Amino acid sequence: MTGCDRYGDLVAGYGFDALEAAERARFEAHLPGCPRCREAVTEVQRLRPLLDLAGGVEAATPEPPAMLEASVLAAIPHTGTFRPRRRNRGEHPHATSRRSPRRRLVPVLAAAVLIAILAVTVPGPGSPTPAGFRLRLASSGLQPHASAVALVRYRPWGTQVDLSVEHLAPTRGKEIYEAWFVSPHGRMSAGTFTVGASGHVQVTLAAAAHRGGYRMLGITLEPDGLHPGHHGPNVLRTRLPT
Amino acid sequence: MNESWRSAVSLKVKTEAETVAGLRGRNSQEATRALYRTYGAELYGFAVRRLGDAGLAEELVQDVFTRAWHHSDRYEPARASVRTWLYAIARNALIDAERRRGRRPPVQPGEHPGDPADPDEPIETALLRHQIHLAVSRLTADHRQVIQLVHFRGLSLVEVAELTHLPVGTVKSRLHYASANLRLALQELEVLP
Repeated sequence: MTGCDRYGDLVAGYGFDALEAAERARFEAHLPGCPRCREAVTEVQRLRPLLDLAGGVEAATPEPPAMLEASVLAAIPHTGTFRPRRRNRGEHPHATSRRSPRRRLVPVLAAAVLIAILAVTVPGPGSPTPAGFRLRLASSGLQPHASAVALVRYRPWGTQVDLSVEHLAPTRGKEIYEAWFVSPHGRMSAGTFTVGASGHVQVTLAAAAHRGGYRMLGITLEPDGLHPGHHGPNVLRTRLPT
Repeated sequence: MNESWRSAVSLKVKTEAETVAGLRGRNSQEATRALYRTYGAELYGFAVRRLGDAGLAEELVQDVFTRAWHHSDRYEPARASVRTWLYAIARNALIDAERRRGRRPPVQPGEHPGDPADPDEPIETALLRHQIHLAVSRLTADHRQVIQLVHFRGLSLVEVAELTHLPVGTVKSRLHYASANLRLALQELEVLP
């Protein structure tokens, strides 16, 4: 697109038909003997119909909402919930329906146990607000002073949780806090966050969890954020409105 | 194409192909996140422009990545780039979304984040337009301005210089680099070879 050394600065102007008459005539006299400039002009001229299709250069590209990444991650099977089991020779790599009955039961039982644990002394469903449900999460006893308020809003793609936590122990090293939607059939990560020395954090989380599909919202402390399949202890929890 | 650029391109292709292969592996979350952070925003932009509704666009992007996860074993790096593959998935997801929308109430005026596209326009044309917008959005404001004035308003270089109070040589140079950068962006987006 640069053309030759002598006339290269005229290529773009000529290609966009923006040269004055005298300059254009000078360049056109040069073109027949210069294949580099002819090729460069062709390349510029190829841009013009594309720009016509765009219709202008001012249109801004819409930015996705910050929570979309979390909802995309949450919608992927196995993401942050259960690790895919090790593949056996000759077996379909992700045929979860072929799990042995015992293997299928493990996550279900784990979720059932979690629900049973959470159900004890867990606060009831919160009050509806015009924007969703405001819920107070209670401490499991592991961090007695910890508390949180969650604004739960159901969206077409799942559920958005605006979480405000207080007095959580700061995360250290690879530790992360992880929010979960829990049902009798399993649990789904709504996202992770870390906490600084203040013990306070406000974060928006999202998951492809739909209204009525999950009974509890819980927060666990995961010892190693790089290995989300390792489930840490529950720190805060609440029931979700049915 | 010099050798270092060629090897950089092949490294990128290899890395992205590996990322797709990793969607169903132990690090599926990391692979999905990497893929989303590379292509999520542009797919969302395309969906918003096409559907004219942010909520539907979010659903579509989620659908695209879920389909990519399900069909990652079908991806063949030798046949298409990851971008081409994802847009092919997006195209199918969009057709399904538009079918579903046909059964939904129309979006109310004022909910549109941008001007909705002509629903009768072929998806391929809408996709091409979107990619050109993406390429243009990568230009600096000065470069977008000179293209706007020269191409869309039909001004000569001298007229642009008068309007912007810049020397003609500066305008000439700016148009040259704007054209070169636009072409480069269009090549990166695989609109131009």
